Amino acid sequence: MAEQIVLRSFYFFMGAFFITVILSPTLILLLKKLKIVRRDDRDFSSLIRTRKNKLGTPVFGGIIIVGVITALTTLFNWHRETTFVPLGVLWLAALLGGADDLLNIFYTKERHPRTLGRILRFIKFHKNLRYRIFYAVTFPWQTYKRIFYLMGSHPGKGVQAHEKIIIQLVIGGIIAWWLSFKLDWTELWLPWLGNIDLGLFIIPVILFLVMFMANSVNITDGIDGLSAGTLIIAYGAFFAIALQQGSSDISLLIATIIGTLCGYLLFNIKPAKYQMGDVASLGMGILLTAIAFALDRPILLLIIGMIFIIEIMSVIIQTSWKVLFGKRLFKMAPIHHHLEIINKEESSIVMYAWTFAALFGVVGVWLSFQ
Amino acid sequence: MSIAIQSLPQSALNVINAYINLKAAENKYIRCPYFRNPRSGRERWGLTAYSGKGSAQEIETELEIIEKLEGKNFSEMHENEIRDIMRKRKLGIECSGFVTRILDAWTREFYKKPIYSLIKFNSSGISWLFCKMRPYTHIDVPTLVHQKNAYEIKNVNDIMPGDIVRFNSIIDHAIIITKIEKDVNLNLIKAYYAHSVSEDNGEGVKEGQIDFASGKWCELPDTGHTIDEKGEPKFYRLFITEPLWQNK
Repeated sequence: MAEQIVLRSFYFFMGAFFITVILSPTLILLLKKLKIVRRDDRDFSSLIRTRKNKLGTPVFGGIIIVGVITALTTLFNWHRETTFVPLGVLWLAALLGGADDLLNIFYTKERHPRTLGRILRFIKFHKNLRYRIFYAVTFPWQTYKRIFYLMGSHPGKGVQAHEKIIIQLVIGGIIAWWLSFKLDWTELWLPWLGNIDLGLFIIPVILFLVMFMANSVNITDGIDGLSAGTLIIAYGAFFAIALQQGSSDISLLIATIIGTLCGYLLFNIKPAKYQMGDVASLGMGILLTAIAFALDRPILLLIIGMIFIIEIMSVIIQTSWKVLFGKRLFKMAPIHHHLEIINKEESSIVMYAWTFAALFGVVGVWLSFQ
Repeated sequence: MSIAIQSLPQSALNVINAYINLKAAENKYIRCPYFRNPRSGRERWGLTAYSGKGSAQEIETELEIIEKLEGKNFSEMHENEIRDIMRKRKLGIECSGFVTRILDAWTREFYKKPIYSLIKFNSSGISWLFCKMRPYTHIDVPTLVHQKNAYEIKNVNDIMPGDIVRFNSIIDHAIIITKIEKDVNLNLIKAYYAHSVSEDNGEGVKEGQIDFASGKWCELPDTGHTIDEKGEPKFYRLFITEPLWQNK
């Protein structure tokens, strides 16, 4: 059985790899022609001297990852009970990430939120009654938006943090519905302890992990080869777990993902010919979480995805540090940019990340056997 | 004719100079604008530089980021344009923040300690905790001149560099004496000062002098304003600066 899965996975891997490699040059040319490239007016990281040469590199390259996974899985690995929902949430995440990428490039207006005091004044004193009602009705939404702004969310041109969180919650909700109601699955596996029935409390766990991992992978996608390499290793670890469980559909899905990521990585190694962008990085994180749940090993995300977690924790700590102490802990967050600023070679950072990702991946697989 | 001249130590004067000549870009130096620390909101809980209390280096770092965010080239822009952008982005220094940073350089040199570990905060409970966590944000004029930290100087002839002049009429404002000149009878002839001031025109970090013989105040850059417009001055000496002069 395992031999058959490996053989079929090999075909999926090779297929995904070659399709990605063949299509990438055309995509790069197209992205350049459409001017979907990295620009300095919205890219904080281009403050780093060594990153100035990244300006002009096509972004949105992740569309090929989403496209290849969708095509191969829909044509050859379509199963309503296993691959349907992971693919669906990948597409939802791709829509969200893609909109963010394109808005960041083509939408020129910044959207600054109004202060709550001002909105309250509008509600009380605006000469037009309809506006007064509108502001009163939307006040809870404005409050929600304002909270994000106070926490440091930058009112950029793309999809803003408070909007992303809502959409990620919806995606997390779909996964939670799929697992809890369609698959009647409410247990959380823990190494050495086995399955613990959480009942409906599994839903907040799913929501948290989906949002956490989506943003973690998104944040890791910052320097050439970092996210793709660490994702290949993380998916590789889950592939080993899927093989161990004899889960054919999920193994083939993972093989497709690894294949397309390897093809993408060929063009993303420094100097990158194109970059993933949010279109795929959000989806890759969400897909990783969906697969971890499908394999009944979500808790191992915290080990196998350790690099992603370190990256997002550096952002959370940096934001908290600013609020609590009024200064930056790192020169720049996420931590890979901090390391760049303190003159660590970009390629060294990536190599270290891959090495530690492999280490954590092996530990994760070992834990899965416990 | 003056016979005795005393001034702040060089480390403190360097701080003033750093605010007057903020590096905005290569070969582009600007005078730091004024920004008043808000009582609440994003700036209050953000970086110290955006709460009107940042050091010159912190403000310069933020300037570099702002240049990128605005997509501008500061080296090709006029000083006033850059200062306008800083005001729009709420980047600047307020009066007590400026005074604190100058005194901080002094205490770090002589006590080997930052000013916030030497002065006492007039707070308790959770606000005391916030004062300890974000000390520079919480050092304001009332804290500096509080009876736990300073005493009022009644005789102007006793004024020394490092003393604080407080104006508490229109707005609570503080300036710091940077240099004094005395005559043979040890009467004060001139006192030089520096401050960060809010004005309708030319606000920001400025230097000025008080001529005690004529009672005139003048400032550089001359914007048609002088500090005596702020009201009746009161002179204060921080307890922490007193031993520094006794050692001299």
